Order: sequence, then structure tokens, then C-alpha cells
Amino acid sequence: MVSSLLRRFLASLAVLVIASYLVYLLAAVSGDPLQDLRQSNLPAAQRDALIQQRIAQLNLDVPPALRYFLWAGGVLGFAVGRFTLGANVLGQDVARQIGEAMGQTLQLVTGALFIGLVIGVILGITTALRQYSGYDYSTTFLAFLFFSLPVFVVAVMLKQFAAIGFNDFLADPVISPTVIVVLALLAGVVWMGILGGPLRRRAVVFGAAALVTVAILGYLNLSGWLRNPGFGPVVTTALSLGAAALVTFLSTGWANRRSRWTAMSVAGLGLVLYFPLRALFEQFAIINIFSVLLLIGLFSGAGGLVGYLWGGNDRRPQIRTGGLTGLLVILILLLDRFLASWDIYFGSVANGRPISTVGAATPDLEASFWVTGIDSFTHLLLPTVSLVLISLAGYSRYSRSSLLEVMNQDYIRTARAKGLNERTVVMRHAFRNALIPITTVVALDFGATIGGAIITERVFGWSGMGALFNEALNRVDLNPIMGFFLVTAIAAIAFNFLADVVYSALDPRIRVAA
Amino acid sequence: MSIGPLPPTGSGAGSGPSGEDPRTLDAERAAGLATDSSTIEMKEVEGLSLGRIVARRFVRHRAAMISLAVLIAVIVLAFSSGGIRLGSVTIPGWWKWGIGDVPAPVNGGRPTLSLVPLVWGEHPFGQDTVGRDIFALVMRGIQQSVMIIVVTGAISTFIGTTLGAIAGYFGGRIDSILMRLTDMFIIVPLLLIAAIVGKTLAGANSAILALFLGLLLWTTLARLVRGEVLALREREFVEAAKVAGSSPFRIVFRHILPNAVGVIIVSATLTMSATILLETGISFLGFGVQPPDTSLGRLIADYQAAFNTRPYLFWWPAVFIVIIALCINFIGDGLRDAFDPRQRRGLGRAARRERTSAAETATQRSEAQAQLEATPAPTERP
Amino acid sequence: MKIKRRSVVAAAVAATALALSGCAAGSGSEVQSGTTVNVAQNSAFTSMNTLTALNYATYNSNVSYMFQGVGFNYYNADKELVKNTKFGTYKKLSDDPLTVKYTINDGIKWTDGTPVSADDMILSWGSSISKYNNPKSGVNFGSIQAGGGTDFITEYPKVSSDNRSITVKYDQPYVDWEILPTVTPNISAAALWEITGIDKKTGTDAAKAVSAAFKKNDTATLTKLGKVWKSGFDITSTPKDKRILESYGPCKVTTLTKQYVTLTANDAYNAGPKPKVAKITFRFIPDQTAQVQALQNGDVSVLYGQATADTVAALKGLKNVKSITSPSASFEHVDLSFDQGVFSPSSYGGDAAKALKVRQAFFKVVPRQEMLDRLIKPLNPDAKLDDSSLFLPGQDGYDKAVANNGSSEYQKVDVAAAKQLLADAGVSTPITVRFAYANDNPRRQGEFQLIQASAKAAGFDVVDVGKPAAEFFGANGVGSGKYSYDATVFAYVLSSGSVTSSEANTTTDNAYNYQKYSNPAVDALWKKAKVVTNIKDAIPFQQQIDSYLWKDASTLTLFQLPDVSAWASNVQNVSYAPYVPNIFWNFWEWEVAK
Repeated sequence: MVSSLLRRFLASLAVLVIASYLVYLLAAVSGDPLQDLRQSNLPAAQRDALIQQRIAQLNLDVPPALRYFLWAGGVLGFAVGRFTLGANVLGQDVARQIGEAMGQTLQLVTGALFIGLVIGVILGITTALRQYSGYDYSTTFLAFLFFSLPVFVVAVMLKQFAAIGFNDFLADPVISPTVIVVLALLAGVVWMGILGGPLRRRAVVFGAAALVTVAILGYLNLSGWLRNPGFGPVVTTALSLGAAALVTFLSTGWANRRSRWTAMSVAGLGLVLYFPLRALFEQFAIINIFSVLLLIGLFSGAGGLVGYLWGGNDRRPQIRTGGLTGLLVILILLLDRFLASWDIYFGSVANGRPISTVGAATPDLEASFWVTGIDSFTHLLLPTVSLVLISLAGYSRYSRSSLLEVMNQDYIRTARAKGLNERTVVMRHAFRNALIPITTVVALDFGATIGGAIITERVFGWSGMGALFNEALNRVDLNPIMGFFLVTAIAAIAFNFLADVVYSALDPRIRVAA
Repeated sequence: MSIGPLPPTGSGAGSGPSGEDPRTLDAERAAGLATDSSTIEMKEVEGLSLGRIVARRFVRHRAAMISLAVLIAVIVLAFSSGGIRLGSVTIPGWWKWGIGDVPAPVNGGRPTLSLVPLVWGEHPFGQDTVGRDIFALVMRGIQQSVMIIVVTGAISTFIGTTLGAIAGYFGGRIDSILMRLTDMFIIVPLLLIAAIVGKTLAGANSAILALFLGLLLWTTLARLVRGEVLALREREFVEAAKVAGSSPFRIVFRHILPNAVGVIIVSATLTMSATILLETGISFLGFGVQPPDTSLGRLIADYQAAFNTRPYLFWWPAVFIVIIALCINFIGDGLRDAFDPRQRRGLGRAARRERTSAAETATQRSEAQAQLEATPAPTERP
Repeated sequence: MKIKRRSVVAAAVAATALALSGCAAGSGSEVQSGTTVNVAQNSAFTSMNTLTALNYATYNSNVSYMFQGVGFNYYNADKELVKNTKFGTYKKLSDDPLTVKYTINDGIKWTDGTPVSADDMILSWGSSISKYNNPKSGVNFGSIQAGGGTDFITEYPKVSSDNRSITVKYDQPYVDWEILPTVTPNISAAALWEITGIDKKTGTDAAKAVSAAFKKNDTATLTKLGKVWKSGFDITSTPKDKRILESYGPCKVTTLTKQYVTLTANDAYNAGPKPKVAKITFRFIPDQTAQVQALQNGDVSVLYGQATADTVAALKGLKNVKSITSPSASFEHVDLSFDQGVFSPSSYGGDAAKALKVRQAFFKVVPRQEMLDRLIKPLNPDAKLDDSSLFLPGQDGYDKAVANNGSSEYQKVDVAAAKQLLADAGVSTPITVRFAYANDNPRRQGEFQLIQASAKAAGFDVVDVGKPAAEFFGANGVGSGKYSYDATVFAYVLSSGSVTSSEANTTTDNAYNYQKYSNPAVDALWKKAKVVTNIKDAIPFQQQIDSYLWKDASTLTLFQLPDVSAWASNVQNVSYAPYVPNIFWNFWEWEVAK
């Protein structure tokens, strides 16, 4: 085992070295690093001096085949504590540039990757359970459609409608009756498609969904919620109880009394703490991302503990139910607090136009955790949506296939045969096994994430890894190109390897061989 | 998610060379399962050759048939209207304007096409700022984009199939070396190659771009074919062929690969649909097909600023990109279904089986796009 | 029992929460903000020292204009040079040798309180002369100015006793002396010395040490200073060492991130007009469509850039946004090759007259007006043809130049005249013209296609030898002598009304004279134009040169390229100036309406 790992490691290292040499040579022939100077209209003497400067700075007088070793020497310098990726054409340190760019990229794509995965898997599962239904076909069509649209087109449209249009709408946020009717019908059709069943049930679902939609939208209109959103104790209570019910249902089934009690207790705990927590949230001096994460952890832990206490003989499902409910409840409470700052953000930071089309944050914003949190949300919204839309096709189709494959396995038939209800069969037996192949896809995607989303970064004005690479390519700037290559190649190889290992660990039928 | 190294593609199928490919298991599983459902299947297809069965199934796939018809119509329209240029040979098309013509803008360059009453007019899709006819440009764009996806698809399929088959059949050291070679192609940043082609070689011929894309995009297929071959080589008919004294070459190409043709064809169509989007992305960054020639990606990238002001410049190429990409996706779907021996429509729920393996091939589709964007893997319609 | 346990848990959690809230020192207000103008810019700001070769770019100089101020003078929207006496004064003491005295007013200070002094001017001078810009070895400041006009000041300037004035002496007369940044301070000598860390001197002492090093020509010290001057002021994020951000202008740099740079008004500023807004932020947005949508959405309030038809139209369609399209200082022109091909005398056995007729015939069928109508008018309905190679429309001397230079011959396409000229020359048609241009630029592509279509009627077969811009301007591109073409189209930028900026393109054997045009009369006129000491005195010479260029049919100017500027209508007093820094020239007058 160890020797096979070692062999693979050495082979990968060799691949990396050879590929880096090739990439160096290719990058060197991809253009002329002096072009911007040649094109400038400075006096000839001045221009020649600048060309000489750059040749000296980038060692352009050394042929690329040898210049590579100057670069490689810098990389190998880590052995003696003098690691360097060199400097770019502007004289900036590449290692530092890459560090900064990576921060931006991870900020931009991590959320999108996660949300895309969750929505994709949900769509995949629901379409698999309603295979060949109208819902299945229309989801497929839409997923393909989003996939077929170039990302910059998606971005331009999102900015036009979801940012500019929506912000205009917020100036006078009244949803017109026509829109309400259309949305209600749409909601009816969608829910009908998802839940399916015989004609009568469909009609009921359709009617209920449409009515609920009308009620919610009507309420939004009447209360001015869109302009001044918030939950308040009542809605928070309702949401917490809803979350508790949902977790109970998915986790152990509604019939499990202990589980039900656990979830309800955790929701109750949240409500008891509603006002103390609201007081705590106002302490801007100590509220930051770390203390909030700590709080989320504490509360989920408390939920787990509640589950443990309710547990009885089989504690694990109860702990799981409690922990998950705790997580959802504290997130609802946090969301409630964020919404309380919306008014301030809307008025004094965003000047009435909250959804942003560029950048990661409002420049120079000095504000509380809550306001900066909203600010990040309004800036990340559009790029995240566009990344999610194009990635939906992948994850949804993949998990759909995977689940369908699993549903045809003998052990599922066995589970059904022994009288387990559909929820248990799907959630406990099928879903978990269907996730196994998806984990490897996720691992691989994560490896590729480091490279950034070049077009998304460009159209949304982020300067992450993709932007760094694109700029370096345009300038024929070898050091950043190589720095980018090194980081992404290592990530790709490492996650590729990790994907194999994870897969074999999750699926005992796979063995790792060299 | 990147233009960087080819993202590791692959399929949950433990694409890694080392881990035994799960496809193997799927196939084995499939073999085992086939017994219980094969009886009904057999009646349906009794006495037909594989080709006939596939063709018959494909014809019955409505979405795929419609897509095929639309795609053919689009291609015929593009090549007949714009004419064909092959080096010095030029066959003129029926459309009056070429992409080099600059007639004075009529009516501010707005489209003359109207549906009621149907008027084709002088410039049905409008004209750009200089006066070039958008219909001619879009038709030329379709030609180029179709050419690029066909060339890329052909090259990547050839390389991927050959290397994958060799690696899978011979295994051992050859397998290791080929898989590390695959790794190497995965990590070479695709945009770098596109930049080299765009900045130095191109202008000349976009076929070169297609060629290079093909040289980079074979890695997923190679892994899939390898997995398939790993499973197939253990089957009895291969043993039989060995005993009969067939050469390894003959065994691989006459006996094993025909059985993997479903995976290969599906994968090829998916690579093709991904390529059209990849080409669009590259053009947006300024590295793709170079002017004065054009492609759909180039047009849409050039005219994205016209989104609000002269939407016809932007929407026509966009519509054709989506049409072509959707058609190829659905055709790929139809092919996948047609090649899937367990696929029977209209039977009971229990009989509707999916093949994860085929889903894995779907990874392909996104692979190319994932070069540019955060797009996870696969898509396919069972 | 169980209930008890549960209540214990609840109590514990509540206690923790209360304990945590107990630690809090109390709550502050949620937001702090003031009036800010957000500007869209396509590249990130990279250095506080924008005169280094690596950082000399519009995206830096626009920002530095705000933290450095206008110095001794600046160009206004009417292309007039305005003196800024609040900062200091300069006076020409003699014409021969050209001697100029620069004095900085008393009380002008860097942000740390050190006075802006002669030492800073010495640093500006020293860092820009070739002697101290040697890339191979020794002292290398890496200045963009090395090899330029400052090189004529070789002698160490005379410093006044109050340390506020210097007097520079030019070795030879130099017409553009007034518009060079020559001695305007850009980097604090004190900060440079402190950051270099040669010894522990600070403030005025440190500044004096810098000028002393130049005076003594202390190469060891200057080498160290040069290194820091060259790269020590490069920043990619807000530096910890605030000395790097030292400036004396109307604004100071306060925050720099990967996505924006913020400039805050400098309250102590007394060297010129003071800005009326509290903050100006440049947000880095590379994509122009994204910039327009950001303006529409209120994410930025000001944008500027090269105009395209759709950007202009999109901006026009926006409510609450004002936009203007204006001719910029760069102009498009068609050049013909004199050293090769159908327009060169060598093709006709050295018969210059014959080649001239062919060139004139070609220019007769270049559809200037149609190109303007189709390519530029949609962006700027008021656009006009540019009829002079040396002056921009509206510039001093333009009208007179146009009246006499013979450009009236080429206002309209005249196929008959072109055919006649070709017949006179006795050349048989069709004549194949290899046309070079940057073919990834849609506008140039359009220009090529229009010329090709029009010239056909006169018997010119214009063939496409265009290349992508990267190659067109590259090592084997238009200026290399390795690119075979007969005609080409590209743009020149006239920098800030400088007399000498067109010299290189038109004098014999100059590296920038890509077309290898040569006329001894033009060379002689340039010699005369260069050595006058007042820009106005050079105008008659330039007008004569212009006439020669037209009569020799060497270059055919087409039109100025339009720039587009747009701003939200609540930002007031924005206007455009054709010279850099274009829309920012009067940023101090910008105001945000409530």
C-alpha cells in the first residue's frame, strides 16, 4: 500500500515536472513580452532603454529552454527556505499575488459550488423519483438550456433583470396582480409536477400551492415586506417549528416520538433564547465571523445534547435530529437578525439599490457584522446564481442517474419487500449509496475550483485566479503563468488522487491498486 | 472550475488509473442483472442486427429525432446559404452577401425579417455598424462552429478511444504510463493553448484551433474507454478470440471496441456540445477564431454589448448556439438510450433501468465548459 | 429527571449567551459614510510612483493625478495650458542656453508635514535622466522619462538658499520644456531616504541627503535609492508602511484592495483647487459592458473609455445618466510604404513622380467620408474628418494648416481622378495593394473592408494581410521591417500638444517612421521646429511639414477616435478634456447632489 502510494506520488511528480517544462516553453512561444513597449510611442531612445530594462528584469536574453531552470530554481528554493515564484512583469511578487487571488476565487466559487451541489442533488433526486414526468422533462430541458447559454450571456441577463430591474422594482415594491396570478399558476404547476400522484391529488396540490403563493405574495404587498423585511418572533417561531418538522420527517420519520420531541425541544430552546440572543447580537464589538461560527457550533451542539437527553436506547438518530434542528434554528435566528439590519443597509449603504452588479463588497464599507454580511450577500448573489445555473445540469443529471441506478439494486427491492416505507427506502437505503459517486465528483470539482472562474471573474469585476491567469497570458508574463500552473496542477493531481481514495474508502468494493 | 488544467474529469468512476474503475463493477453488475430482464427484451428485438436495433430505438426517441432534424436543417441552411470555402475552391451559396461585403446600412441596420406578412428582405437579421450582413455572418459562424465541433469531436474521440483501449487491454506498466500521460494533458491549461493558437497560428485557419482542442479534450473518453475495456477483456468472447489466436490489435478493435461503441458515441456527442460552449468562452477572452473570419462564439462575444441596444446582433448567434447545443445534447441522449441494451420505454417501473456508467460518460459534456467555468460534471438524459 | 437535565442545558446556554453579552463593551453605530464618487476603471492601480517604466499607464496616472495634484501646470478642457500658481511658479530665465527657474510656494507640505522642497525636485530630475537609468549596471531608477527631454539637463541644477527653487539649464534648446513633468515632485525624497534606510535621518534631513547624493554623484547610495524608487512604491494592497503613501496632492490614497482604490480628500491641501467630495473610489472592472451596467445600477457613478457604438447607445438610453462622446487625442491614419511595394519609387525604377501619382490615386479612392459616416458618426454625430497629420481639430494652428496643406483634394472619393492619375502614371491595373491592419479590431476591419470595396472601382485590388494586434505591433510587426505591406491603418496618439511627438514618425530613418518616408525638407523643418523655446513659435514650421506630408501623399489622416464618458446625473460638473487625464482633469469641481 505504502509503496504503491509512493510510486503514484513519484509518477505524479514526474508528470508535474515534465508538464511544467512543456507549459513554460508553450507560454514562452505564445507571444512577445515586449509587445506593449514596442507599441508605445515613446521616443526611440526611451523605448529602447525600457526594452533593455525588461529584458534584464525577466532574463529574456536567456532562451526559454534554459530560462525554465531559473524559474525551477526558485521553486526548488523551498528546500533551503528561499522559495520564490519570481516576480511578474510589474515586479510584483507572484507567490503573494497568487495568495491574494486564491482568496478572492475561493470566496467567489465556494458558495456557488456548495449551493449548486445541494440544489443539483435535490433536483436530481426529485426528478429521479418522478422519472419521465412532465416535471422531469421540464427540469431536464431547463438544465440543458442554462448549460447551453454562455456564462457571460447569463451574467448580462442576470444583471439586467435580477439587479437593475429588481432594484428599480424595489423603489416601489408592489407586485402587480397579473404577476401574482402568473406566479401562482407557475407555483401550482411546479408543485403538482414534483409531488405528482393521481389526478385528484394533483388538483389539490395545484390549488393549494397556487393559493399559498397568492397569500404570501399578497402579504408581501400589503405589509411592505420587500422594502422592510424581517421575521419578528412570530414568523421566527413558525419557521423554527417548520424546520423541526422537516428535519424530523427526513431524519427519522414523523412517527418517531422521541425524535419529534427532540426537534420540538430544540425549536423551543431557540425561542426561549430569542430575546437574549437578540441582545447579544447587538454587541458589535464581539460579533464577528468567528464568534458567530462559534455560536452556530454551540447551538448545534446544544441541539445534539438535547437529542442525547431524549435519546432513550437508540441515541444516534436523536442526536442527529437535534443537531440538525439546532443548526437550522440558529440559522433562522441569525437570518432574522440580518434582516433587521436590512433597512439601514438599504438606505445608507446601498442608496436604495441593494443588489450589486460588480465587485465583492461596497468599497470602504465600515459597518457592523450584520451590515457587512448583507453587503457580501448582495455582491455575491449574482455571480453565485450564474455559477449555480450553469452547474445545475451537471449535478442534477448525475445524481438522478446515480439514484436511479441504486433504486434498481437488489437491496432496495429487499428493503421494499420487508415493508419499509418509501421514505426510509429512499432516504436511508438509496440516497446514501447514490451519494457515493457524487462525492468523488465533488472532490474533483473542488480541485478544479482553485483555477478560478475566469469569465465570471471578469464580468463581475473580481480579480481571482482566473483573472490573474488571463492577464498574465495577455502580457506573455511567464512567472504568473507558471505560478498559476503550479498551483492548479498540484490541486488537480492531489484532488484526483483524493477522489480515488475517497471513492475506495466509501465503496468497499473498490480497492486501491497502483 | 478553471481554465487551468483540465479539471479532473471524471466520473465518479474513480477515474483514477489506480483505483479499479467502478465502471468495471457496473458492467459486471449489469451483466448479472441482464438475465432477469432479458427475456422481454429479446422478443422485441428478435432477429435484428445490433445496428438495426440501435437505429430502430433511436428513431423512436422523439426528442432526439426532432433534434436531429433541426440540426440537419440548420447545417444545410448554413452551408447552402453561405457557400463553402475550402482553400482555393469556393462553391458560392445562394445568399447574396458574403462576410466581406459592406453594403450601406439599410434602415439603420435593423433586421428586415418580419413574420407577418413573411418578408425576408435585404438583411433579414440586420447589419452591424460597418454594414456587414448579420445573416451572412451568422451562417458563416454556424459553419465554423460546426466545423470546430466536428473536428474536435473526431480527433478527441480517435485519441481517447485508442489510448483508452490500449491502456485498458494491456494494463500494467503501459496502463500506468498512459494514465500519467492523461494526467499531463489534464493539467496543461487549455486557455494557454487557445492563446497560442489565437495569437500566433490563427487568423490563418480555425481548423487549427479545432485540432488543438481535439488534442486536449480526449482525456475523459480515454478513461471511460479504459474502464469499459477493463470489464470487457475478462468476458468469454475475448477469451475465445485469444484461444483462436487473434492478435491483441484485432481483439481490441474487432471484438472489444464494438461493444464499447455506446460509451464512445455518447461521449463524442457530449464533447462536441461542450466544445461549442468552450469555443464561445475562448472567443469572449479574445483567443478564439480570429477576424475577419468568425464563429458563433466570436459573434456573441463581440456583440454582447449590444444586448440592450441592438439585440438582433446578439440574439441571433445566441439562439443558434443554444439550438445547436440543445440538439446535440438530445441526440446524445437518444444515442445513449439506443445503445443501452436494457433500455425499454413503456415497460413497468422495475424495468426502467439506468446505467450509472452512461451517466459517467456524460461527465464529458461539462468537462470542456468546466475548463472555463465552475461547472461540475455530468449531464445526460436517460 | 429528564426535564431537569433539559432545563440545565437551557440554563447553561442562556448563561453563556448572557456571559458573552456581558463582555461586550457596548454597541457602536452601524455605518459610517460620507460623499463618495465611484469611478469605473478597467485595470487595478499598481504603484504610488507612476513614473517608473513598469507602472507608467493610464490606470495609474488617473489616480496619481488626484493624489499628486496638477503641479506647476495642467491642460484644461480647451487644450490650454493653465499655470497653477498656488503650487509654485516657473520662469524662463534665458533662451540660449535655455534656463528655467522653478519655485515651490512656501507652506506646501507632504502628508507627513515635511515641506515639498528643492530636494524633491532634484529627485525628480535625477531619477529621469539617462545617466541614472542604466539597466545593465549601476544606478537604475527605471524611469519612463529616461531618454526624453530631461536628458538635455545634464548639469546639476542650482538650488536656492531657501531650498524652494531650482534652476535648470538645458544643453540645447528644447521646445517642449514646459509640458514635461521634468522637475515636478512625484515621490517624497524624505520618504525615499527613510524607506531605503541608509541611515536614521528623517524628514528634511533625509530629503537633503537625497539631493546631496545626486550632487556628489554618490553611485553607491544612488544605486540603493534607485532600487527603492523603482519598486519600493509598488503596492497591491494598503501598505503597512504609510510612508509609501506619502503625497502632497488634493487627495491621499487611503485604501487599496484587489478591487478598488480609495482616495480621501486631503484637508491640509493648499497647492491648488481642493476637491468637493470626501472620497473618490476607483473600482476595477475590466469589462465595458459590466461597467455600463454598473453605472446603470448605481455601483459606479463615472466611467470613461474608448467608445463603441453599443456602449454609446446603451448609455444614451439610460435615465439619470449623462454621457458625452468626444474626439480623443488619438487619430486614425492610412500610411503608404515608401520602401517596398506598389507605392514606393523603387517599384517604378526609382521614378518618384510615377509612384507619387499612384499614391495620390489610391488616396483619391479611400472613402474617408463614408468611413466617418459609418464607423464614427453612430458614436458621435458631430464627428468630423481630421485633415491634418500634426494638429488636432481645434488645436492652435489646425485651421491654417488645413487651409494650405492640400487636404481638400481628398475630401470625397473621386474614381475618375484616380483613374486619370493612374493613366498619367502609365501604370496598368489592377494594382495589388497589400493592406496591413490589426484584424482583431472590428473598426479596423470595417475600415479595411470599406477601402477594399471603394478602391476596386479605380483598379486597386486591395488584399488583406492583416494580423491580430499582438502580432501587428509585435516583434515582426508593422515597425519591424519584416512585415510586407503597401498600405496600413493604425492610430497615433498626440501627447498633450507636444511639438516633438510627431517628429519620430516623419523624419528620415527614425525607428518610428514605419513607412520609411523621407523628405529632406521635412527633416530640416523639424530641426528648426525643435529648437524654438516657445510652442507657439513652432507652429509655422509644423504647418509647413504638414503640407509636405499631404503633397507627398504619404499619410492620409482619417478621424479622431471617439472617447466616451458617462456619469450619473447626481454627479455634477464633470467634463471632458481631450488630453490626459481626460474626464478627470477637473475632478476637484465634482460634486454629488443630494
